[in-house]
Order: sequence, then C-alpha cells, then structure tokens
Amino acid sequence: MLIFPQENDKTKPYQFSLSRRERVMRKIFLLEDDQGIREVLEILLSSEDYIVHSFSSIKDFRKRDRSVLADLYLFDVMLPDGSGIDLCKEIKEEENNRNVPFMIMSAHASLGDLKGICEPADFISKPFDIIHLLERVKSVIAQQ
Amino acid sequence: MIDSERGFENLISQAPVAILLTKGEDYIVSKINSTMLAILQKDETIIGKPLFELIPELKGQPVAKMLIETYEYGVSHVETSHPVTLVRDGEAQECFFNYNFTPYLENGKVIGVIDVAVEVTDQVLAIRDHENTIAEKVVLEETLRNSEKRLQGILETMAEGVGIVDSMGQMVYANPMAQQILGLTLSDIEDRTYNDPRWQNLRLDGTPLPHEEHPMTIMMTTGKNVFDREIGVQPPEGDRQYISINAAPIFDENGNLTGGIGTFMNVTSRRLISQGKDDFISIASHEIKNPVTSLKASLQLLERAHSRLPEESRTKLISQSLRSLENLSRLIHDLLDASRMEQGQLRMQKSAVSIDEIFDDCCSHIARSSRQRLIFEGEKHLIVNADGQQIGQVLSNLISNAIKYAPDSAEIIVNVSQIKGDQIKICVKDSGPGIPPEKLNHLFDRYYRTNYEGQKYTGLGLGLYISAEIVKNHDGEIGVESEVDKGSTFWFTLPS
Repeated sequence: MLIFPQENDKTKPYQFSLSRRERVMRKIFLLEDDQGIREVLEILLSSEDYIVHSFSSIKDFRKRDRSVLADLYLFDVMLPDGSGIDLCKEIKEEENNRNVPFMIMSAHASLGDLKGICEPADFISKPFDIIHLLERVKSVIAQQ
Repeated sequence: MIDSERGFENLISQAPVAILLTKGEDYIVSKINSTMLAILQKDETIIGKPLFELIPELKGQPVAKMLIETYEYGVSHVETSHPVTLVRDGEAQECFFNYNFTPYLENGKVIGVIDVAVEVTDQVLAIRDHENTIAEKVVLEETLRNSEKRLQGILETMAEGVGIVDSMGQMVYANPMAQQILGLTLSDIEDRTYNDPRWQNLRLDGTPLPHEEHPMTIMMTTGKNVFDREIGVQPPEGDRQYISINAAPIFDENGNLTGGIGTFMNVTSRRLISQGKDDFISIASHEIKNPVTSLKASLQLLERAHSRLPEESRTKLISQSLRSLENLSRLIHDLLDASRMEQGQLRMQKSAVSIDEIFDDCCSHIARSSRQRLIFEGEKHLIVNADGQQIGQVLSNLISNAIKYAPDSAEIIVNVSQIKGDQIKICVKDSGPGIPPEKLNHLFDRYYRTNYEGQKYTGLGLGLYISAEIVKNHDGEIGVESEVDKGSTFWFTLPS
C-alpha cells in the first residue's frame, strides 16, 4: 500500500522528504498514555525501521493526520479520556481501516474482556518482553 | 280424708324436690322425703332426731343461720345457688342449692320450718368451670397481647428488615426497616411480590438477578433456609442498595409450605467499601505495571541493542528508566505508608522546625520543575513542633495535587498564617476547575479518588488519605474549600 501525502496538507510538509522511505517502511499508530512506555516503544519500533506515530490520549489521536494510513494500530486500554477498546471498535468501522490490524496491550484487561467489542489481531499483556512484542508486531503486519 | 293425707304424704315423699320439715327449737326432723334423704345421705331412722346433731357440719354455716332466723322470726328465706358444706362419703364437700325456708305454722304460731331444696351443685360447678375457663382465657389473651406488643416493638425497632410472603410469594408484611430498605410504603407492600419488576434485583456484578436465583425463590422451592445471600436492589428511584438476605420457610402443622419469612440487612456501605478496595487494588496493580513495563522494556532494549542505538536514544532510555524507578518507589512508599497508617505504626520524630525549612526540603524542587508559578508567602518563619519530613510529605502532596488537578492554574499559592493564637494554618490555593460539593466529603477517605473510571490521573489516590492521617497525628486539622470553576484551597493546621 503506497501512501502519498496530500497536497493540501500543510501541517506536515516534512512528509515530502520522508515519502520515499514511507513506501517501504511500515507505519504503526501507537496510543499509550504512559510517557515512559511510549518513549521506549518509539525507540524500539523505530530502531526496527517502523515509522511510529504516537499519541497520549484519544483526543490527541483524533487530531491525527488522516491522510496517513496505518499498517498497524497498537493501543493501550485504559486511557485518560476513554477506553482503547471502544476506540478500536469505532475505528474498525471506518472504511479506510477495515483491513488494518489492531494490537491491544494492557496491564489489566484480558482477551476475554474484548469479546464482542473489538476483535484485535493480537493481545499483549504488560509488562511485555520486547523481543516477543517485536515478533508479534512483525507477524501481525505480515499476515495482512 | 285419711286417704288424702296419705296421698299427700306420698306426694311429698316422692317429689323430685327435697323437702324437710323440722319442728321446735331443737329442729327435730319430723318429715323428710327421699330426695332430701339422698342429699343428706341418711335414711328414715333420722326422723325424730335433732337436725344439727345429725348433721353437725351445718352449725355456723349461713344456711343454719337462715334456718334459725326463719324459726325464730317467722320470716321466709329464699336462696339460689347457695353454698352449703356437707360431709359426703366421709369428706366435706361444697354443694350448692336453690332453697326455700318457710315457717311452719300451727294455730298462727311458728312451730317449725319447711325446707324445700333443689341441689344445683353440678350446674354451679359447670358454670364455675366455664367462668374459670373464661378467666384463664382472659389472662392468656392478655399475655398474648403483651407478647405480641413486645414482638411488634422488636419488629418495629430492629435494624434488620423483616418481610413475610405467602405461598404465592406475595408480600404480606414488611416491618418499618424493610419498608425503609426497599423504599416501600405500607400500601405498596400489598401489591409487591419479592421479584416485582419495578424493583430490579441484581447480581453482585450488576447483571439482572434471574427469578430462580433470588434467595426467597430458592427457599420457597427447596423449603430450606438460606443464609446471608447478598443481592443488589435497584429501586425505581434512588441509589442501588445491597442487601443480605436470610430466608426461612413457614410450614403448617401438616408440613405444607405456606409462605416464608425473609430478614434482610442493608449492607450497601460494606459492599461499597469492598468494591472500593477491589477498585483500589486494580488501580494499584495498573499503576505499578506501567513503570515496570517501561523499565523492563528500556533495560531489555539497552541490553540487546546498546551499540546500535544512537546516543540520544540511550540517554533517553536511561533517564526514562530512572523516572520509572522513581515512580515505582514512590508508589511502593505510598502503599507502605498507607498500610502503616492503617495499623497506626507511622512513628513521628518531632522537633522544632520552621515552615520555611520544611518547604525548602520538600518542595523547592517541585517549584523549580513546575511550569506553574509556585508562590510561597505569609509568615514562613513560624516554628512548629512536628515531624518535618511527614509535614513536608503533606505539603508536597497538596502541591503536587494542585499541579496535577489544576494544570491550567497559572499560580499555586502556599500561604502560612497564625490563627487563633496557637495554631498555624497552611493553605495551598489553586485557581483550577474546583471540586463539586458532593465529592468534597470523600476526598480524604482511603481508596477515594475523584475519577476512577476515566483514569484521568495517575497515582494511587492515597495522597490525601496519608496527609489527613499525618495531620491528625499532629493534633491538627485538614480540610478543603472549593468552588467549581473558581479553584480549590486545601489547608491544614498545626499547633505552634
């Protein structure tokens, strides 16, 4: 799937310079309110050549650049302004996201809690092992 | 004439009423019929003998007095159901008679007394028996009434609700506490069954309680007692209640189930405390897992990819790890403090210390790192006799809260003042969103945090609880004044 920046998008002009790399690099949209976890995941995933767009709240996430399509959504559950599970359900109903896989990570919820609300491609419980997490991310994106 | 006299004598002797004629002042038995002989248990040989010698027990009895009066004054006496004690079969017995004493005249002069009597002992005894029964019943009724009054008093004042249902499950009685717990009036009771749809019964997890799981249904279908089953009840209006139900069947003498009695207690506060604890534990584990997650991931990443990572990322990961570790130790510290508080084990090391010093130790670094302006003003030099570290913890809790919950408040003002002579008051004032009045009362409770569900803020929600405990240990007071949209002022006092 090739993504070209929209010409009317003035907010992120630097994407022009990245666009060549973006053709090959997978984009992960990370939603996690804990600053520490967010930072580590950003470093980890970008060191594995993923492009990470990270958000600390649902409000923040809704303001994202919608012209950029994700290859994977990686969501925390308990967020300051709502639930990552509810957001997952909502986003899955959007036309553009129908085939984009979701991964849910949580310290709290179990896969059973998600039944019928959001069927993620994978579920990671916190605290996680980074190697394990990378393998799962890779395989979920590959399955697509 | 002789025939007619004999005939008359026959009539007398066979008459069904007892007849006796005594003569003279010795009351000689001169005529007596067989009915009277039978009453006296004598035979005809007594004729010609003095009555009181034949029947000595009569002496002194009212009947004897009347006999004597009739003879001496020539007046008749009529008595009904009159008691006379007679020796019968060797035993003195109280007998009852309707009798009539009439003077017996000859030539206008009283020479004897005619006694006509009917024994009514059986009837009198029967009546007396009846009366005794009635009297006993009156006493019994009185006792019953008292005991019912006592029971009623107990039912009306007891802290447990009591409800009685008939065999159809229709409630036929509910004591005042039951009415209060269920939010019912007496007239409601008549048309409420224990699984009335208007009162939604709930399982503890909040899902509807099916009819067959209701403790009263279980009791009515099994015929067995049910103890301490807790259910939720959502009345048509008002807050959800939790009640603990004991249910017992009522059987008639043939062993048929005729209804049941349920006693129930409102255990809402008990339930809310335990729910608060559950919430707290789940929050605490979430709060602890976050720093552990980032710490673990950072260290793993550093270990595996140290050389491949740019310098900038390495620095970030290390300082991030330290922050996570600091968070963790603060959380653990709070947890330990809270549990020590609970057990009253937090020891104080009091010394004379100025508020200035306390502030410098606990909070100057907060002032430096915060985006908001932290103003420390008032009589800062005032000295308190306190555990400086613990008071510093209170101050830093209040300041951190102000920063956390009023992020848009440009200034946070810490003010020290002397009040009421020997008290020092320290206020932490923000101009943030304020706190709604219904939440103010609970702020200092353990396990209370203004917003669990939204998870708007991180932390265990123990800060204010710990602060309140510390201030109380110092014989001070802690409180808050707040107005929505105007800001909040948390304050505490200490003896100087």
